[in-house]
Amino acid sequence: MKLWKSIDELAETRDGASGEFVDGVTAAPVFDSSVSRRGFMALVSASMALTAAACRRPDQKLVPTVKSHQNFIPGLPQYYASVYSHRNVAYGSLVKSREGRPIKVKGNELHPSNCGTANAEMQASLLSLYDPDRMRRARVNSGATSYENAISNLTKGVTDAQAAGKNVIVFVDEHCSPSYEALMRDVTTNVPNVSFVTLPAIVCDHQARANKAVLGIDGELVADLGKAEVIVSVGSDFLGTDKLTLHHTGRFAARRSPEPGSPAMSKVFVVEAAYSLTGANADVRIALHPSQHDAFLAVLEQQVGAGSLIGSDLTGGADAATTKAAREAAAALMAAKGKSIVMVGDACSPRAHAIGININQTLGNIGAGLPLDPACVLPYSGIKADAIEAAVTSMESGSVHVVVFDNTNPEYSADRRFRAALAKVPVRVACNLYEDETAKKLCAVSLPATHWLESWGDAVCYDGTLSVQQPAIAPLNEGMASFQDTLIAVAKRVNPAAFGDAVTSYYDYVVARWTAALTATGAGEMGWSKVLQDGILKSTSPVVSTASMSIGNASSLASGTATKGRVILTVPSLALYDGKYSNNGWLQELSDPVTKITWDNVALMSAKTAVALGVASSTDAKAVAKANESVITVTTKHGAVDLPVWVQVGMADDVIVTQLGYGKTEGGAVHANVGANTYALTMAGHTTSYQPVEIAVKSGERHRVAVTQNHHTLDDGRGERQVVKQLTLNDVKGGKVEELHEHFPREDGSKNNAKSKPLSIISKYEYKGHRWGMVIDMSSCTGCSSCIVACQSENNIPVVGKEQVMKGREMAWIRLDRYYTGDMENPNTVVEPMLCQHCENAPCENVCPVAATTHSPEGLNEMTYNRCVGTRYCSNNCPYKVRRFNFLNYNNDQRTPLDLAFNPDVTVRMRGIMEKCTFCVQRLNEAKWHAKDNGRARVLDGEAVTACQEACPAGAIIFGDMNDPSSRVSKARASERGFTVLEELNVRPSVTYLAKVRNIAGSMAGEAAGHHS
Amino acid sequence: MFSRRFDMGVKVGGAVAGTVALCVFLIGYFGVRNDVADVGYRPQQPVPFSHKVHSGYTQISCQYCHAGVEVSGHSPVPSVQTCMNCHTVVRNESPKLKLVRDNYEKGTPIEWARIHKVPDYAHFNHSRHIRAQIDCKSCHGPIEEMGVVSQFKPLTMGWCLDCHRNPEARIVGARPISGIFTGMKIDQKNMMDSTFLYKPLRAAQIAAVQPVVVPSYGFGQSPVPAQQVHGIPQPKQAGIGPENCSSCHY
Repeated sequence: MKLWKSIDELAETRDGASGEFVDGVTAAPVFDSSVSRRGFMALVSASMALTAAACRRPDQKLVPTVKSHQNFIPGLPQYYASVYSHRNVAYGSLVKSREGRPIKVKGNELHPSNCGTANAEMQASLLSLYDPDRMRRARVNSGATSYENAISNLTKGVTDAQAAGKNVIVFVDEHCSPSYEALMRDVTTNVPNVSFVTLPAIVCDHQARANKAVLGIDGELVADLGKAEVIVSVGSDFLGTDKLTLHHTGRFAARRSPEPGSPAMSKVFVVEAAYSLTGANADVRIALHPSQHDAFLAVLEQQVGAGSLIGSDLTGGADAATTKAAREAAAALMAAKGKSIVMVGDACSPRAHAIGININQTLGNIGAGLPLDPACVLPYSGIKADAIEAAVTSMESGSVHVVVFDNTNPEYSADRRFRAALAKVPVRVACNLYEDETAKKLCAVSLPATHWLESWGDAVCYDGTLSVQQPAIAPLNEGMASFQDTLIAVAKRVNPAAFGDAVTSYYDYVVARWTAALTATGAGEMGWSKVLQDGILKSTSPVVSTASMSIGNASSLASGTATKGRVILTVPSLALYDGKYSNNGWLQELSDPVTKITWDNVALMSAKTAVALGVASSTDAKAVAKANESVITVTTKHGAVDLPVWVQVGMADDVIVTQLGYGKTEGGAVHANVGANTYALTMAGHTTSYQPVEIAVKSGERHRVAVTQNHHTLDDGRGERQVVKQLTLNDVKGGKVEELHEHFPREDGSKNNAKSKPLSIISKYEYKGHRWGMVIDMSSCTGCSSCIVACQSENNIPVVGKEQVMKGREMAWIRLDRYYTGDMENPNTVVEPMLCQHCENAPCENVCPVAATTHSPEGLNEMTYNRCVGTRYCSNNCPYKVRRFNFLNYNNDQRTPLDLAFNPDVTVRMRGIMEKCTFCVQRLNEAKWHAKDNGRARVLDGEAVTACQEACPAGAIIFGDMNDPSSRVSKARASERGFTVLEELNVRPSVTYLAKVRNIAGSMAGEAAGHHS
Repeated sequence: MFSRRFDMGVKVGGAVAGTVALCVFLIGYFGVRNDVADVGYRPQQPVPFSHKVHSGYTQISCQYCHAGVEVSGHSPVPSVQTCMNCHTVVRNESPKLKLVRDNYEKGTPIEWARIHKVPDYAHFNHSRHIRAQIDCKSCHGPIEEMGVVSQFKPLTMGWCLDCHRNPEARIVGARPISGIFTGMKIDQKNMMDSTFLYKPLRAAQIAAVQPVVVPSYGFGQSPVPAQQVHGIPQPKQAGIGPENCSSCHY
């Protein structure tokens, strides 16, 4: 089984030796400053003179508080339960705060939608709090002004509108806050000419339309993948860019790691045109042109024996491949009635969604306690396009005097017609985090909005669980208020009777609503404190579904948005989603788990499409590799965008996929000139759709893309080193797991049949106390990348920028190595999280000339920054390529106040220092102190948690004490699926991987073991 | 007059001798002189606060002002309000306290000059030492004698390790004066001697001191373990804390 990471590798344009280090990685840094040699000498002598004069360290101040605060001790963290709203998805969060500043966002274990885990955006939003590019002061016309003055302007606009008998429209982003929803109603009651329109950057109503017609529910249903033994996805990226991925990943992963004792596993079919993260996790992945998706579902509907067919007219469109795939999927579904689910993607037509419902209904998968519970509806996920359309019409008719934007940026994300309609509105006011395209180009009045960590609010989750969003810090600048506060202030100015005297801020409003509700349940005052402490309030009355099937209504739904021929699909970016947090270095530098591209969006296409476009001469790997980075102009009937070509293996032909969220022009230095704005290509009311496309190649033009797939390779470049191991479910069931392991010779030269370690000339070290170790289950890991951002936030890992990434200098301590197996047409993917393996016989330790990297008595491979002189010998000698070198002063060059996001428990590294994963040693020390304080000699299992483990929604990372036989990590390590990477080197890693299992026929165990003679 | 070779020999020899002499001087200078390691650093403070008065004369427990030191890595510096707890009544007219009163009224903090500082890459944790019953004075010296506080120990890595490897010889037994365990005044003379000389406690000395009282203030959920020898809280003698790099450097 050949493993490969990129087309370059297949093309053998890159040999193993040079792949170990990227070209230019060791090049001397070039400074922009034009310091001459003489000037340099002058600087050096001056600094030496200063050094001589300053034998003492610089004076420092200790600045305590004025007043003492209860339960606030400098040096101790405080945790606030809050809730992060990923558009209309609520994720419970715990915000860690030190000395009054939030430094880490993690999940709230009590919250049902994320169960203590956190996704990349939620964790990275911390960095946006301290973003120096955030809007700081209110603006009227071109001058900075006070908040008061700005809202006077807004108030005047509203009163003028009232006087003229015209309307005010407030565009709000998707949200899941019942209090905000109530506030909007109250504002409309008090100021009747104000109306609210939900305007998400990504509008997609197809599921809601189908649900409304067929089930009578205006909203999107939340499936429970943990109850599904067979999952069939048609274009649905439930592990990647769909909503509620944390929930889906957790529930999905629970069924993905079979052990020989209990070999049960779900089977996943994915039919898609793109190569999504869900496709990368599929057992059976079928690349189909989108014009076949409706037909696939129609055949599936027929095959599962639905009583009345919604898609009977569509089956004729199915070609042979589609029919074959549908039959196979149908057979699997029929075998798992009531325990299976069909997921239909956002890009599919409303009719396709209706067919999906019909199939699920036929199979008995819909109902309370079943995979699709109609009571679990995503809050406020109803149809939005109709209201937006009505707003556009009224703006065009001239009946709107004022538009207000609450964290919406239609100048960037909306279509041409919408923007033309906005231009007809005389007064435009923005209340956004950044002075973005909308604020800068459209709005005479611009108010700085508060970040979610600075504002009050609440959220409801799909099962009715309520949570309070409590701020962890006051707004960073004065004259900053949440938009809800502004709404209340303006409403009070327009109508003095509004909201009464008791409510002067949104905080008052939220508390009043909550205490009223809590008092009704008898919880009262203490109930509010309890809610603030827990972060959640379980719904007391169970949500009951009002759904009733009416298949007849489905015929009115539109089908088949995708035409035959060349189409483009615009999908949310896996890192940036819709681009709301695009000015965030952590997210920009997060490698896409499938393409491994950072800092860019590209036009992904299959090799055949590249040939058809003329950017590649043939589908041979060598020719295809050259097609990458050539620039094409993509034109749909909505607009045109220049994008670099990137050949993605496994995609359907004649399909181009590109990501949204890039190409911002205003509002920040980080996202400036990064990628292209692909919202220009999309259709109004259906952003994630397939559009017919015209493509022109810009010959000779190239755009460099920073892709990390060839960085830090630990294979030999020929794919012969078995750095990942795979099994099939049959192997697990049939006891073939044994074949996974290499059998190293014994001392007498005979082969050992049992799981054995290589012989060693080094005497074994006895770990007397703790022995820290980790197990990573590659079978449950989906590649969601939460761990990378968790580590970045916990360990003060710098952002280096696109230029540096291209030189292979990205600093992430944990990376996701994505390997393909199979051919370029439809390869399988294995994701291997790679971090410092904390080897027992660590090769890095032997070669350090200054003993900066040493071994601890607890099995950690320690890195002492202040000792490191930067020879990089350790990195050279590391077989796993997990050591990261600070080539430049990445951290010290950060703009204030980004430094406030640093974790004070971890040293901030400077230029010339090597660094790597520490197993979160600061957390281990804390756990040990905690144990000592409680009179225990040892840390209990589960007390020491690494940041990556804490964030992992799949539960794929297990950490603990290997010396404790009852610990989870010891038990997981004993799994027969366990192996250590590059075991033949005998470095004895502390990280054990559990082999990836695929639910397919046949055996992979024999291929997995690299047989050494 | 001299051969070229001799001439060169003199030059090279001179250069070598000069370099060696410089090295010897530098090593000697920085090795012997403690002030380069900040010992004796005594910056001017904005308020003429005297530890001698508060800690020595009035015997206020260290933790009254440095509250939370037994649970936090930092030893917190008191808020202005802490000063005013007493000084609204005691010496409330004193001109020395004008800055404190002004700051309290204006709501602005006092900027104290920092004296003790380990580098950012070394994570010293106060609470671990306090909980191991290491007295404040082991590192901070006879604070109750200092009108203006100065740094008493070099706070270098070698100094840390010396103590971790041989604590009996280095640590001053937990003393009431620091108030970690009690505010009770006992046998100050004996204590002073051992403090300055850093002699290990002798059985006779131990016998001379009275039993101590475990404090009732502080953080109830985090009891301070009380290992006692003849009624005196003692620093832990065994398993003196780790010496591997990542215990402090991470």
